[in-house]
Amino acid sequence: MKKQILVVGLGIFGKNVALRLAEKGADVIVIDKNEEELKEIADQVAQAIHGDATDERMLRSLGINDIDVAIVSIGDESPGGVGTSILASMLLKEVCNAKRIIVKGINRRHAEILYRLGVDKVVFPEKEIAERLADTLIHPSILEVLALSPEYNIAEIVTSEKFVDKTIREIDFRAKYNVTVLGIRRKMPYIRDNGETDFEEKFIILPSADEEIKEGDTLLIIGKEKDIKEIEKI
Amino acid sequence: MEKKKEEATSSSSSKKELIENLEEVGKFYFLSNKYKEAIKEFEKIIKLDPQNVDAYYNLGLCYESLNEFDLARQMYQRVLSIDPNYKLAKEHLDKILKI
Repeated sequence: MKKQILVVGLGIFGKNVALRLAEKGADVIVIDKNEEELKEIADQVAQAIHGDATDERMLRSLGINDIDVAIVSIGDESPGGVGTSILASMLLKEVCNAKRIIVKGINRRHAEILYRLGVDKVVFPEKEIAERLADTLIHPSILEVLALSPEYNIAEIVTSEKFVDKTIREIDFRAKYNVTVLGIRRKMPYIRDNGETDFEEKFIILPSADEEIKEGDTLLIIGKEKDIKEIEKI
Repeated sequence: MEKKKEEATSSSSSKKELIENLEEVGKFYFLSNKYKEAIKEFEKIIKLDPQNVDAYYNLGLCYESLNEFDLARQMYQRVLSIDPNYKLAKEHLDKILKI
């Protein structure tokens, strides 16, 4: 059965979450007070409802009572804005029986209250993006990092020139750099009959020791944070 | 007068030929994953013909392949400033800008 997801608030965050979920096959219902915003994505989601998610009567009148996940993305820094977000979150739990509630956090206090009230997750997308941006500015060759534990990370890094045209065996990632290569993202250039050039991306999972690194490859590696940072300096 | 005209035609046809040759070599390097070498060839084309959209597009592809996204963006924007209907450049630019 399709997951039923309710998204409240169609700002940049809410709208993009809703669109991506719909694209991935979820049954997405959106609620917003702004008709223009609703119109923009109405044909891409299961249901677009014009209304105020803090209005209990309105929510009850919808008859929605079996929601897998509710995502609340409303409110601003003002006391009223914080209150709006909290109230909508509580009503979605009570009226729509949302099994899981995820809220876009406004500030620390807001998050603390939400967790105390039983909200499952509070996210701070701007904080996460800001940290990621700062990291990529300091370590431009590290494209993405997934923290597995305080010590170990999986990172996607741009290949050093020194590795180009060498095999994984020759580079000896494990012995020399203490990291293991999990995958290679490679551009596969091609030319069409009309002479147009373009490329596709190919992902080589668990490459063999004989795989040769090519210019422009990015490597998905697992290792300690300090070793990943070392390999970036090469 | 006739002679001058002939010289001009011959020089423009040899320039065209030179650009075609450079493009061929550039594409060969690009297809062989030798993006830095390809960039050198496409830059030579730009020197001869500063409005050559295909050369800018190919430079964009090379920079994107090298994960030099700022430079790739600049190249695709250059293509679109000369030819706003260049579909592939628009597609790559949207992908880079994530819009």
